[in-house]
Amino acid sequence: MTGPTDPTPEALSADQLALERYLDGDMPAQEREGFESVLASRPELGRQVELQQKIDLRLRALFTPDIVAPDLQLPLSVPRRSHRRLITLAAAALVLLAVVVFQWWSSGSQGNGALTPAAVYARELKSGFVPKEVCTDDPAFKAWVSRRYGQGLSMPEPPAGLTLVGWDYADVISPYSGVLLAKFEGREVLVIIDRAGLEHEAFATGKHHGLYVHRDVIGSLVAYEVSPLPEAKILPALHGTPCEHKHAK
Amino acid sequence: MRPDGKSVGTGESRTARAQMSPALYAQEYQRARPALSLLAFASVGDRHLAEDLVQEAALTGFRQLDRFEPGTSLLAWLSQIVRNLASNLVRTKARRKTTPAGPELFESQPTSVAEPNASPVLQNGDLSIEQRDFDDHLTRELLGLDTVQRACLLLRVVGELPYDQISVIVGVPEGTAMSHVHRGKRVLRERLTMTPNTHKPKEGVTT
Repeated sequence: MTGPTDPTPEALSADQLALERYLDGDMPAQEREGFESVLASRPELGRQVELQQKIDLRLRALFTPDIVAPDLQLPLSVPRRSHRRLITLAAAALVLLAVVVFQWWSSGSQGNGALTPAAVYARELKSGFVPKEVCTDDPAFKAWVSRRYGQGLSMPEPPAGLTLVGWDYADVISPYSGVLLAKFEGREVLVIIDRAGLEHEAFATGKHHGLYVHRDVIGSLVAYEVSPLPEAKILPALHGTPCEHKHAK
Repeated sequence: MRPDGKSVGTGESRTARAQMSPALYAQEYQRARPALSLLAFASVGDRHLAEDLVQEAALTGFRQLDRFEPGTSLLAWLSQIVRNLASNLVRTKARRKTTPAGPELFESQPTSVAEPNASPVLQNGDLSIEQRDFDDHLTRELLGLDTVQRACLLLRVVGELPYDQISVIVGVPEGTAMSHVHRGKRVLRERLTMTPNTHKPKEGVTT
């Protein structure tokens, strides 16, 4: 790859420099708060922040690599090749096998997901927030969670402005982490849930590239809410309930 | 010179050195793949070509695993392979002969198509057109950035990587990577809010 090795230095104003650092998430909390008050009084800077957040979200939606896609694709039919070439291809096939085995091992035994909450958000946004399963009422919602994760979740009083869309799955905490898709006042919000014991390491919470990540532990479940909204809207409304599902042989 | 900046040893020293096992290579490659995909896309500007390129880089790396020095960064080594393959691909494409289209071809096109350079963002920051149009516009402006700038930007925004890793992957100093990201973001914002036809984004890929 070639290209300019260093961008030509530009004379940027202090505000512009601060804006770039703010947008890059490269600002200490105290300075950040101060700059946010500047943003509130400078609509032109605020518009730039909003636009950059839109750009970042769309870039993630457009370009987040599909982690679950096959990694190495070998040709199905190989024209005449040398013996050495065939050995190389056989070895490459072994690598492919090792990748598959490693993926199975790492996701199954360690419960270490391949996607971050932000990557799941980007993926769901890209696919249009289409659920795989839909619960029509709170008892169905409770039973769905209970059946899969050993503890029920209930939302007896959904906050005003919240519309539940349905459930999807993603490889976050484990390969079968549940992803609750919802919209709050038209903005896409999702909650990733799984058994707390499967969480290898907690994901960072707070604001990351225009998305806020909130974490809560509800009984034996861990839940992450991801959205462009600074406050968690769904987590406070979720309540743990005893498991209703009895394991039947 | 090796991709990670160290000298390649003689054949004897290579064979004497402990090689990375295929299983470990697979594991490390799996970790590196998202970043390699972004680098490849930034380099060639086409998703399918980029995926082919990453797979070719994985096989090339595997075939040449005896040249990789354990303990050094496999990500840096594979990134160099991706950059080399991309560079070869772009050179090959540039050498291909093309036939210029006659003016009659353009004259036969409908003239009522939407203005492709119309800004998708209103002055108040709201989207002026549908999401897909915004995505098209964004992708076009992204492809108009310099290759290195595009790679740094995608690795930072989409890959969410720290600058020390971006530096290793793209092969530029950390400060340069940061400047590219800041400037790339600014350029995208400016171009997406420009009034129609006030700029001509570069089409294609620069390498």
